[in-house]
Amino acid sequence: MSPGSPPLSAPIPWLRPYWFLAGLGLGLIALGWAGRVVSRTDYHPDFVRFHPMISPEDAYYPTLDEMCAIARSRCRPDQVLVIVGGNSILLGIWQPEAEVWTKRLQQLLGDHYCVLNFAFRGASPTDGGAVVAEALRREFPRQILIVNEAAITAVDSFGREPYRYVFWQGYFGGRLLDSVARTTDIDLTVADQAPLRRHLEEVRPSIWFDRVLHYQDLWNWVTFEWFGTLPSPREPAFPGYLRPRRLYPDPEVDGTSPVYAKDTYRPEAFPVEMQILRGPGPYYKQGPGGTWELAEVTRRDLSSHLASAFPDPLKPRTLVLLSQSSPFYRRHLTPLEGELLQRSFDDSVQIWRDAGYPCFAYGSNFVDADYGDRIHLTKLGGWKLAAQVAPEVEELTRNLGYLK
Amino acid sequence: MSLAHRLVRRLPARVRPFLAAALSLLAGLLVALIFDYVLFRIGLPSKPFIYVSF
Repeated sequence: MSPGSPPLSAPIPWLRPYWFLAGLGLGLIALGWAGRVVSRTDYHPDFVRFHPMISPEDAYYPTLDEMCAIARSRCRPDQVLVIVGGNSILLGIWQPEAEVWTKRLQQLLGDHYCVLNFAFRGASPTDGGAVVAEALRREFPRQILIVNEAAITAVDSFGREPYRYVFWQGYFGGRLLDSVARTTDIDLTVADQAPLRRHLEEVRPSIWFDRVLHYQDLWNWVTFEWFGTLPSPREPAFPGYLRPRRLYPDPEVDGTSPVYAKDTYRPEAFPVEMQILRGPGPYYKQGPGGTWELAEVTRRDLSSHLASAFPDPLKPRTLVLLSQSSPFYRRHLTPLEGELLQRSFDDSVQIWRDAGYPCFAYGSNFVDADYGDRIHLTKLGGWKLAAQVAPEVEELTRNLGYLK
Repeated sequence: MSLAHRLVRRLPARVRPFLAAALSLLAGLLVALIFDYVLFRIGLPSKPFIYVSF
């Protein structure tokens, strides 16, 4: 044996610690660099919306940078950026990709606007699109955010699971506005909820590591472009889950098709849907004149939540839509219940407006065929919604001075 | 004696250090890749998100 060669009795005769550490360091630097490049690249060339195979429903978690890259590649500096956030209603469930309401909104608004659908199923107004819009506020100062919510519903300033990770990416990444009200809201919630506190203890270092190594973006890109690395509800087994996500089309069906329209109002869902429709009831009592009065404690609670939901400078550009249920269910309410429901929408619109947000309720003049179920719109309802939203967006554009 | 040891013994003495360095570097790169992926996986929620619409 020569003096420089490894001892043959060593467990791993070829391992050189310095070279190994050099490889480890070089590897991490190269992966971090690749992740950084990917995080600034739009690799969703045909993006319309986050359908299930590219959303948390199927274990794909779009990052804040990924969504910002989509916005940067599509929105020109001379356009007003219109980001649609919110939940499955604005995502366009029951509306096929080619006819989704946000495409119609884009047509109605024209080339001066760039409409992007960053809504997610089950998301709150402060999730997904809201974080993207706030993170891009300097790059795209002429922006409008469209979100939706139900009547008499409070909104947390830091989103809701499973989409809260996007908010934390922005919040701990230092990409959101400083808002005392929001920070206080988060601190109070964290102090009150031990599981959230423990979760944040893991999230904070994870986001710090990710800001250096960009592994979330890198592996999302690998999953989208090359091969999946983990099972999902739609592809639970090997080798199915290896299929890259770019190969999956948007599976959303047309709710107006006879195949689906016959099941729009399923009798077995009727009791539950009516219960949801009567949801605001406990917050109201009838006043002396027979009118419905919202409980003062509920009004204060809602006002407080909405005051801290978005930072003050962003409220005037956040258009809030309140979603009415299908008339198929509304017509089964008693006249008194109908009055209460309408009152709950009128009150909610006023509370949102008093908190500083432009807001309106839609759906009161929609017909059964405009809905694919109690609350989600078919393409027919979606187009009606787009026709109502477009002039509101144009008015906001004027009021906010975006045309100067 | 393991197969690895026997293979190393067969190589010319001058080649062994270079091969060892290259293999060590590759091992480091591989561990970096695995570490990067593990960081990604532990950042994902452990419970799947099941969306139910009402």
